[in-house]
Formats: sequence, structure tokens, C-alpha cells
Amino acid sequence: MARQKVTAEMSNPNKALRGKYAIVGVGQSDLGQVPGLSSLGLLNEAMHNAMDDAGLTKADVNGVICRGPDDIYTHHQRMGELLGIDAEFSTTLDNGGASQILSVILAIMAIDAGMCDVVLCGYGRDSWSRTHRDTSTKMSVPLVPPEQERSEFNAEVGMFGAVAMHALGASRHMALYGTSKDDLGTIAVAFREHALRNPAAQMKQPLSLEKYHSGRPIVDPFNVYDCSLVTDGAGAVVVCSAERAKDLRQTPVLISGFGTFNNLRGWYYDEHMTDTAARRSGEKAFAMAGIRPEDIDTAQLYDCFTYMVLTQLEDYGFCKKGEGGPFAASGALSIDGALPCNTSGGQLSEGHVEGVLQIIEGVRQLRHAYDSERQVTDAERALVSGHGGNTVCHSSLILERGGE
Amino acid sequence: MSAVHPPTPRPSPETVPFWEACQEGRLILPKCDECGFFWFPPSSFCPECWSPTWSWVEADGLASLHAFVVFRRQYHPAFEPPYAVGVVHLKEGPRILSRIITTDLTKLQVGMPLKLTWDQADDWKIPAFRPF
Ligand SMILES: [Zn+2]
Repeated sequence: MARQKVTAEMSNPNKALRGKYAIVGVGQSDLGQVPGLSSLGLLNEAMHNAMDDAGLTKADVNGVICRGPDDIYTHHQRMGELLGIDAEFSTTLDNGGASQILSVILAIMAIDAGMCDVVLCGYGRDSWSRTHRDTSTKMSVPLVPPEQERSEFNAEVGMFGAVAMHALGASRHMALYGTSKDDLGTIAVAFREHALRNPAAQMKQPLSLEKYHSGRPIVDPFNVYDCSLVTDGAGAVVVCSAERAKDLRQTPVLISGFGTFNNLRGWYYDEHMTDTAARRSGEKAFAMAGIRPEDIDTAQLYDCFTYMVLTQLEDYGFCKKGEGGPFAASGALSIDGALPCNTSGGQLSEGHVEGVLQIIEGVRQLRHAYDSERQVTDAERALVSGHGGNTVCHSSLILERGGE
Repeated sequence: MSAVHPPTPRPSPETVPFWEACQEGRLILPKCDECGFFWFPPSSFCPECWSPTWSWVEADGLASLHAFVVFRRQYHPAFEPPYAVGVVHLKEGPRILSRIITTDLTKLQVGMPLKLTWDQADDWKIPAFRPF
């Protein structure tokens, strides 16, 4: 298969924006099984919490960016209606799990272009409730609305769901690099251990490697413990200039780098399954921030499935291509390891809210918000990732602890 | 007993000729008249050089297994697990998703050679591949 022609130098985000904008508020809803709240209701709660956290009122907000919960058209309008906000800049993004970081990037672009000053970004979905509303017909209430499924070249060959799509990548990585189920298991086990330190996390039971291997098979090579959770939940963040942030309630967390890359030719094309868009997305973010992977104190990686963590560790340059398995198995990802990763438990064990909780956790770690058992010691810089569309669209964010 | 119907393709205008050929037992691919590139799924322009002139060409049915999964959980009543689905790398270049037909799922390996066969689902002939 022909490789994509290189027609131009890759562009890098403007270094002049490094540290010029900040995340000044974060908030989330309850996670897990949260009856009585719709997707919009959950997000409303998270957005109120994020604004309280920032010490701002609705009069301060003139930008609203949402990622739609797949089934509501112009979601940002419905959200603004509930918030009672008319906005100078507002839209809904459709980039899957890459949308949350993209919301923050777009907020920076909009503020820098003079379109608005303070932007509220977020995502929420009643994923657990909608799939368990009637247990007798559970199978017929799909997480993804049928009109969004591919109409051909998919279900007629027996292909269903995101689990199988991502498992394809794990299968190829295992064949090319000898990655094992043990390697994937150590990722699930490390994040579960983190979740046990997080009272808000959905998963409360310990997970050993032995228990991991006995997990209910779903689609080989993934069992149930390789898969992120089905979660009712929402999260939101507030973005404004670093200048404005100085007067606000919280220790500002500066955005020192960001990057995106999109393997739009698809998951099957080239080596996209094992050399993901995280690589070039990360290169841009590191170039903008002027730092290297070894300068990162904690990584909050988009963990829809265990394998996606493993390949991102390689694609971001924390280890060489093919060595993600041994790197994870070395214990590097634990809270006191070389690269404390998904310190809230991640989407595998805290709750899956399409990447927004990963931004929130990065911010809280850099604020030094936690007691010692959950806090990454002296955390100054965090990497946060998001990907969507079966891992072809990727976005990266590098956060840095701001001045007191 | 009510019949269990497998999901059938819902072709788009661009893919109708592909599915019509399948019903005659032929796997056809768009091939660019300008640069010789084969692609999939079918579309009006060559994605490589953007030429609007191209032709349907029958694939010879040889491929290799790029990646595969084995379904253990049942997602659809017409698909009884375990069964394998793979990304098939056609000799002509494109990669397509396909059922991998085998009596021994444990023998499947990334990179193994595959040959075209056909799955019959209701009134539809669906391309599938088997190790050989
Ligand atoms: Zn061409």
C-alpha cells in the first residue's frame, strides 16, 4: 500500500501561545449509575461545579463549547439554554474522544482571536442509564445510535462495536512486537489500584493480574477488563487567559502545549493500528511546550481500552515502538512509578466520560489538590490525551503548574 | 421458530455496482486509470491522485491477514460466537473488513495468506476469506 506523500512540512502550533492560557476551573458530576439525570442534566451539574471551582459566575462566561452526546443536534444550544447563557462563541464538536482536548484548543484559538474571553467546555452522557433502562431488552438499546453505524462493510461481516475495532490493533501489535495479555493486564491492574484511592471512582474492587486473566471474554484479545466502563457522568473545564487567571480562586494550570493529528485515511490504512496519530499529535504538543517526554511528571492517557494506553506510551516517546508492554509491566504507570499514569483510575476504572475526566485529573494533580496517597509528588507538568473515531483522531495537551 | 436475519448491507449510490458484482460472485475494486491505484470503499475520485477517471477491475481474490479478532460475546442473533473477523490486505492494495472462515480459530495468524470465498446471508452474497 502506497504511503501518504509528504507534500509539506508539518506545521506546529504557535509557540507564542505557550503558557498564555490556563484552565481555571474543573468540575464533574457523580459517576457510575446516576439515575434521574439526562445527558444534559449531568453536564449541567459538571458545568456548575467547574464554575464554582473557578469562582466565576455565569456573567463571566461568553464562550460555550460542547461535545454532543451523539444524539442531540446543536447540543451547545440546548446546554446554553439550561445555563441561561448567550455566548459570543459557541459550537458542538464531533471528534469523538479527541473532542474534549480539542474544545480546550478551540477555546484558546477563539480567545486569542478576540472572539470571547472565558470559555466553558464539557461533555456528559447518561451512558449507563440508557443501556440499562430495561434489562430485558438491554441488547436492543445500543450505546451508539443505529443511524451512526456504518451502513455497509461492517455489520454484514459480523463486525459490531468499538471493542472489536480496537482489539484489531491489539492483535496486530501482539503479532508485530510480541506484546502479551500480561502486558495489557498490567495496565488494567495499575489503573484499578489508582481507582481504589479515588472515592468518586466507579470500580471499588481490587484487580489482580490473575483475576484479569479470568475476565469474561468479549472479543479476543480483549476481555471485560481491557474495556473501559459504561458510565453516567459529565465533566467540564473553564479556560481563560493566564493574565485573568492570576486573580482567580485556584492555582492556575497553564496550557503550555497542544497538538492534534488525524489519521483520516482510517484505522486499516498504513500502520495506523500500531503507529497511531498520537505520535504526530504529541510531537506538535512537545514542540510547542519546548519540552520532551522525560519532562512529563504524570500522563493522563485516553484509555478506552488497555491496548490504546500501550501504543500511546510508545507513540508519545515514553519508550521505543514495541516496548510499551515491558514499559507498562515494569510498574512505571503506578502512582509512585516513573510515569504515574491515569492516577484517577482512568476510563478503565474511574469512569468513561470521553476524555474529559483525564483533563480534570491532570489539572488537579498540578494543583497538588490531593493528599499524599493520591498525589504525584511535586507534579509540575502533565500530558493529557484524547482520541476518537476508533483512534484515528488524536489530540494532546501539555499542562504546567502556574505561579502561586 | 422465527428466522434470524443477519444484518444486510445498505449500499450507497457509489457502492451499488460493487454489491451487484458480489451477487454474481465477483469481487470488484475501483482502479485509477491515471495512476493505477486501487482503493476501497468505492468513491467517485481516486483518493491518491484525485483523478475522476477510473474503472472497476475484478480482484484476483488473494490476500493476507493484516489483523483479526475473535468474537466471544454474541452481539447479534445471526452471529453465533466464536467467529473471526479480520482486516484483509488484498493483493491489489486495499484493506477490507471480512469474515475469516476457518474450522480452527487457534491457527489464525497475522500475515497468513488468504483466499476469497463467499458467505450467503439471506439473499446476499457477502465476500469472505479463508486461510489456504
Ligand atoms: Zn489515481
